[in-house]
Amino acid sequence: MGKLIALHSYKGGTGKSYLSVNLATIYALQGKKVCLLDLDFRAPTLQVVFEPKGLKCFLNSVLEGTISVRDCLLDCSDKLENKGKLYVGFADFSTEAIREMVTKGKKWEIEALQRIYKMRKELLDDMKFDIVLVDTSPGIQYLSINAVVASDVAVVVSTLDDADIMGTSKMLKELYETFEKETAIVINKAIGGAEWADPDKNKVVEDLQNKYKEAVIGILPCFCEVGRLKRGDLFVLQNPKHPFTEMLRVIAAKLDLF
Amino acid sequence: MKRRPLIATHRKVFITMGRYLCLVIEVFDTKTERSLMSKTEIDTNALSKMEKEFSSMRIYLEQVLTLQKEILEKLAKETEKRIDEEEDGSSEGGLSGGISVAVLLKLPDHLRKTMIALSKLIEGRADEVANITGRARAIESGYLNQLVRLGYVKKVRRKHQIYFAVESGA
Ligand SMILES: Nc1ncnc2c1ncn2[C@@H]1O[C@H](COP(=O)(O)OP(=O)(O)O)[C@@H](O)[C@H]1O
Ligand SMILES: [Mg+2]
Repeated sequence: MGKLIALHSYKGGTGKSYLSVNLATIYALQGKKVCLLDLDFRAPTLQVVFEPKGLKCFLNSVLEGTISVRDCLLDCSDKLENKGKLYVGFADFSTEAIREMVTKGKKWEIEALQRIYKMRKELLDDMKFDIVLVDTSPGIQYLSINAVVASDVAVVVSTLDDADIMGTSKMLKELYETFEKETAIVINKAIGGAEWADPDKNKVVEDLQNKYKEAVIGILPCFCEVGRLKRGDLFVLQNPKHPFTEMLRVIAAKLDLF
Repeated sequence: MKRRPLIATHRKVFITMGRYLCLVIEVFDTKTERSLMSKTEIDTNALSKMEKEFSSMRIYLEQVLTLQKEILEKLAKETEKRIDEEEDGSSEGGLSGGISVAVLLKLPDHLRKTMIALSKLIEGRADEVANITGRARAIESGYLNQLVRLGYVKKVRRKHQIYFAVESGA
């Protein structure tokens, strides 16, 4: 039985989208059947990575209940030079669609959560995906955490920015603990050297590590070459020996154990 | 709450059980010098004493079960009442059924766990829910019925089996 892994964060720009794409690539290269979904309806990203041509169906419609997720996935295995199986579901990136999402009411919220559960069952039970990775919007609005609630494992990505760490800790306490979520924490863009010597920041990470001991499954440094590449270039595919890739492989293996 | 009588009855069970065990040792344990087994005849008096202790133990155990059931039912009623009251205060246009993150957050911990497990199944039996939560089937069955009464779950009968399904939010 496969599992649904949601990537989430308190603040934006922590690397959720970047990590979900590269984790999906790692799993697919391992021979797993992988599905990657963009449920960040407020800032869709995956279309920039996979450049789908003539796309007609978006996950927005799946959550509206007008279409099933099966009909909304695009086989993007060629992006991996066909070395693995990767299917991607996109979010509608038109301005109107993004605006519309923000105005959704309570009724939609209820239906959306149930449709995400349905989507999970269809992908895992019927289509037999080994891994379904879900990229979400940052923050604690219900729109963002629907996918987190329906996930089997949630990965919370945080930077070392104090505001991010504080918000993340609060979110873990108030939300994740309430839902008894299987949670993994990844610290991303950790700046090495001088920054690490900063006692305040060290203390914050230490606190987080003490409080959620087994939960912190990786600390990824900031690599300039990671930020420099275009979105369309899959880093782990092109740089299989790079430390970032090696570290992400360890994170993928740890997630497997959940 | 009937906590005090429950504890008192439990105590009675243990005292009776203690007396019973002493008799067992006296009659059957051949290692102790006092064992009656070595004698040609077992003291029938001891056997009837054992029987007496045993039946009073049974009565006490039955009392414990009844008291426990009453407590569980009372707890369930109170939870329902509390949620009903909260619903009344916050309902928007009488939206009934269906779960959202907001509803899940409002449920007490034990019911939330059941609700999330059933949501994953979309539709399932109490034992399937119990498989996910790791709690006993009978307990999940109780919680699922509570969720039915709250309007978040509906019961479906299929081939003499009872299935539970998440209410659609319509
Ligand atoms: N470890 C890293 N080192 C350097 N740059 C990174 C790293 N991780 C992510 N980035 C960059 O950070 C930016 C924001 O990442 P993104 O995945 O879009 O964030 P989010 O989806 O959480 O909003 C991207 O340009 C990405 O290339
Ligand atoms: Mg993103």
